[in-house]
Amino acid sequence: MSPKSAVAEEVPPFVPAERLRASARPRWGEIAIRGFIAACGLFVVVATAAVILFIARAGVRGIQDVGLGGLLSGEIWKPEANVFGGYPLIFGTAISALGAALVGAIPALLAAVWVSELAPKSARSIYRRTMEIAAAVPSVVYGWLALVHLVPQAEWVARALHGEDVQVSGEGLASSAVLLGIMIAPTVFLLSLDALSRVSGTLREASAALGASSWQTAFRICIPSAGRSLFTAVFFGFARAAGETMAVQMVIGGARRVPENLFSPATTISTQIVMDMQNATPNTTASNVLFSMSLVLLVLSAGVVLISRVIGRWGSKA
Amino acid sequence: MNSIVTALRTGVLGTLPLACALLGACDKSQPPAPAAVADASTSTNSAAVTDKKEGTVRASGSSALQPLVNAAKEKYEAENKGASVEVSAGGSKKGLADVASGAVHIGNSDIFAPDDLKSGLVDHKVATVGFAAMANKGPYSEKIASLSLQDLAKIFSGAVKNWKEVGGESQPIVVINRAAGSGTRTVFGNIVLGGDKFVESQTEDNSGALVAKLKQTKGAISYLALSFKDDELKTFGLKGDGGVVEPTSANITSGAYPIWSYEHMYTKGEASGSTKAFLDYILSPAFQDSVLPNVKGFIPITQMKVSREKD
Repeated sequence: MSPKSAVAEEVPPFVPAERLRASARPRWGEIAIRGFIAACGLFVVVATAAVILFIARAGVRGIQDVGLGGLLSGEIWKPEANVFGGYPLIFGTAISALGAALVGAIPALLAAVWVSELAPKSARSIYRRTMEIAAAVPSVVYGWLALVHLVPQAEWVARALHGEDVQVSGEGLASSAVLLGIMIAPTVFLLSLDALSRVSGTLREASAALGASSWQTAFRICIPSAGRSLFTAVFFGFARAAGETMAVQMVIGGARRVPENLFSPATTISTQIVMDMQNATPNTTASNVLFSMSLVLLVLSAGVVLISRVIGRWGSKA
Repeated sequence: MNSIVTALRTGVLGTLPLACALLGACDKSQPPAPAAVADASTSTNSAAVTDKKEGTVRASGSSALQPLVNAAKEKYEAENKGASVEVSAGGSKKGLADVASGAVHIGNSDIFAPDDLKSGLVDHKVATVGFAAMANKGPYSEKIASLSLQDLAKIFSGAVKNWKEVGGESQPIVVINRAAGSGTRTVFGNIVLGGDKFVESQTEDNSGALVAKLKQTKGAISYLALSFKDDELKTFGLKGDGGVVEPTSANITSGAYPIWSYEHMYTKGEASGSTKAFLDYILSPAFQDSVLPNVKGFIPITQMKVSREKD
């Protein structure tokens, strides 16, 4: 987007041309305000570009130091010994975010369909307000709750699944995925609800007029109509899960390896960055590689959002 | 149209300084390169308040040393009005990095400063502390009173995976490690494993969290400074050729129990101002002889009959 068109949109359509002509003096107040607003708009773009630029600059140096292949596929991450294999980190991030989408985002989407299309209308605002509160709970609170209540259950499940002879404490990808699922559910729910509320009432009425039940209307009319936005909601949840740090760190265990099972301690990109940045002297490989991993995370999240756009466009054309 | 052009121009010009400020701020926020660190030491020291005891002393680093510094802080602040000490934990290596970069006045560490940081730093050894393997209490380990260094090496390198292999009953061993920046991990690894050869496993980033984790995890074992010794945890003595050596003060000062380290409080350059006053207090007989022995796990530096030059 060029800055010119951005500014042009700010101008109200009814510019009183005769008044401009009538007053010989320039209107400084108006110019200043317009300039400020334009500057705000530009600042967002410049700041974002600068952030990406800084991450990319250090990140590329890290990739040059270690080699892209080793960084993405190496299985040992041990910065204190100058070994940087990022595969366990990427694996942990991908699995816990996918798990979160499975246990959190999909049910949240279905819950939104239920509340929007099938539940009694009077209950809608109660669901919505509840989920708004849930979305506002800080992540550290979720992490703490999970550590106290979820992790012991996970240990029990692990022993039931894998026998008494496993070395588990309940911290691992399973706990992390469930925790992240619970954390992203409110956001996905609210986004899905908004998407469904944008489906035109005429479509629902037409569907009902043709004799469709409310279930048929919900699943055959409303979900396909809102398809693109629903995809975006789920993928947005996935991206948030992939980037979450604090809460995940509390329950994932922090072992820098590919875990044997879902209940063994693991790590993710974001939690490992937090752990290692304390010991990373700036401008060394140890620090640059953390930026490389940030870049991987950025590409992962941005990639997912892009895919959701593509799928959404394809879906809406069909 | 004219006004649009003007607005655009103002917009672009208005943004430039903002963008520059942003870029500049980012560049400045990168801590100085190691070469620049030594030069900056004088400025940190001159920032100290002229009146010696007033002002804030900030310390960070070892969580093993934190209880001792906290004890000193309480007495020191009570005795000196206007003095204030802030202590945070995050691992010895963080303390060393923080003091070298000038982020804190004192870097607490269980380990000697590494070669790349050593030149700019001054070491103040304030105490010694012993470390021991500690485990979750359960029937599986009831019969084990002590472990040999070889047993410990096998457990922490992952070679032994069940308590029955070291004399207990069948129960999987869950090794919990401290994170990579921990001095406790470095000291214990050097003495027991001959380096950082720990099995990659669950980690905790400070001793306090680790104690809580050990208490709630069945079969768990880790290593802690004796300042974190806890009746709800099992603490193992060392089995050797000459019998069992318990991790007691007497055994540590005589050198019979080998898993111990100095507690260092590093400053950047010679300490001065309020930082010097606080360190002087910690090294004074008043603190070393009457306060320090009452802080669990710590041994006054003056009582040591053996010494070390490196970890």
